[in-house]
Amino acid sequence: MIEVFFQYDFLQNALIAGILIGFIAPMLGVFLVVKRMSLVADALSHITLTGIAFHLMLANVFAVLSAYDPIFMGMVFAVIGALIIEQLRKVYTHFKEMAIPIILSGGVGLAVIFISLADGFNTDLYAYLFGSVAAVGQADLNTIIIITIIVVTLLILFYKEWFFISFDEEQASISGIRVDGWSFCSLFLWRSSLRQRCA
Amino acid sequence: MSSIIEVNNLTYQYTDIPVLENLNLSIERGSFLGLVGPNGSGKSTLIKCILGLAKPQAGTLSMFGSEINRFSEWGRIGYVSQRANRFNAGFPATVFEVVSMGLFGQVGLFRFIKKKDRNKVYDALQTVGMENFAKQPIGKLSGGQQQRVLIARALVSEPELLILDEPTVGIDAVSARKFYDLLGQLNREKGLTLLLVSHDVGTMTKYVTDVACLNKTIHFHGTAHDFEADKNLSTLYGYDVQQIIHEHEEIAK
Repeated sequence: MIEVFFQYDFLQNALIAGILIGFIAPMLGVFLVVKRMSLVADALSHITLTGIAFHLMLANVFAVLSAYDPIFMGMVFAVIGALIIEQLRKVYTHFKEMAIPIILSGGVGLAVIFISLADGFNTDLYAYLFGSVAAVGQADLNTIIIITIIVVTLLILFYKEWFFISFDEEQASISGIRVDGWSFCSLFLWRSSLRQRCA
Repeated sequence: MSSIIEVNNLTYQYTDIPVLENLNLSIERGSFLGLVGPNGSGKSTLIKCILGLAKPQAGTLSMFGSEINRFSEWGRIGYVSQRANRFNAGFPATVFEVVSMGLFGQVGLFRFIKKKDRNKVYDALQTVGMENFAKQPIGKLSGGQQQRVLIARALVSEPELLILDEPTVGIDAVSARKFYDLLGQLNREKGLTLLLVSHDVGTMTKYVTDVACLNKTIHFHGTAHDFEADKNLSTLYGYDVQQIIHEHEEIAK
């Protein structure tokens, strides 16, 4: 059974990708859980779909865009979504959890509009909605490795800041830590690791 | 004596009605100031302004001689918030880790906690008598113990000013008295300047050196002795109310 992993590249890729994601996802996830933002990953993956749909819609008009991977547009959208979530969390101080469902449902709504504008549900989009670990290619694996290195390095360097912010944002900002910057930075990290899920 | 905090004509409003209006206050180095005032008098708002969490609409506020917007040495100020137990009780942090957070601002980016910092954490825990709990998860401690840990966190960066916003809420009378003793001791022995917000006027005035009465603006700022002597004022700010409660306790005994 084990020897097939040495025979087939796709199995090796799947194994390595699985191990790496299994390594960094909980490491970042724990910060989300203590901040009570567990669903942010779901919200950002929906807004990623919006970005992908937006790209496919644009590609129908501007053929040049077909050359690029629509996931990048998805990432841009997710970063914007992350920024909006941070802003909404500030606006609804007492109902911070509202920020996530707003982006989640808003993202899906927009995605549906873009999909219809792009003339319906095509197979391309289908592939992005339901990724498969067995389909991880060498290029995907490289991206995953790079992201893992970035995430682990940042986590070691900025562990204490994130730890403090997760525990008590107000106190962290009093002690001179730039909470805004860090929250965004961490959202960006969660986002990058999320990209692996799509891969 | 030089003043650590200078507030001039400060006005702050959340809506059209100002919470703080033309407020003037100066806190001298080495003083132990009790800030009293009824609910909604703007005590917490004033603290927020001092901590830079709220931007006043008018007036000036300077800390350690520099304008609040340009002030950056937050390590010189320790703060213990009103809702001490606001954090998630399941948060996976030990007492040691919570106290070391107080050093993060000073340690700075790209640096790690060193041996010297660890010793500081243990010293701070010792000051509040919690050194035996260092390895315990913070959520497992009682409210009073958590409060002590949070004070240790505020003390670990060796601040010159410690701000406490109603620190004895939800703490029993005996623990509260011990707590005030500790604050008095820090004030006398380490020369720490303290700003204490409390409703417990009767008990507090026995420990503080100065009292300031706040309701939109500062109505009185003087020594604790003068405050007690001024019957009108102390009645207005609840001093006598506490006295009556004490008498009841004695009858009950």
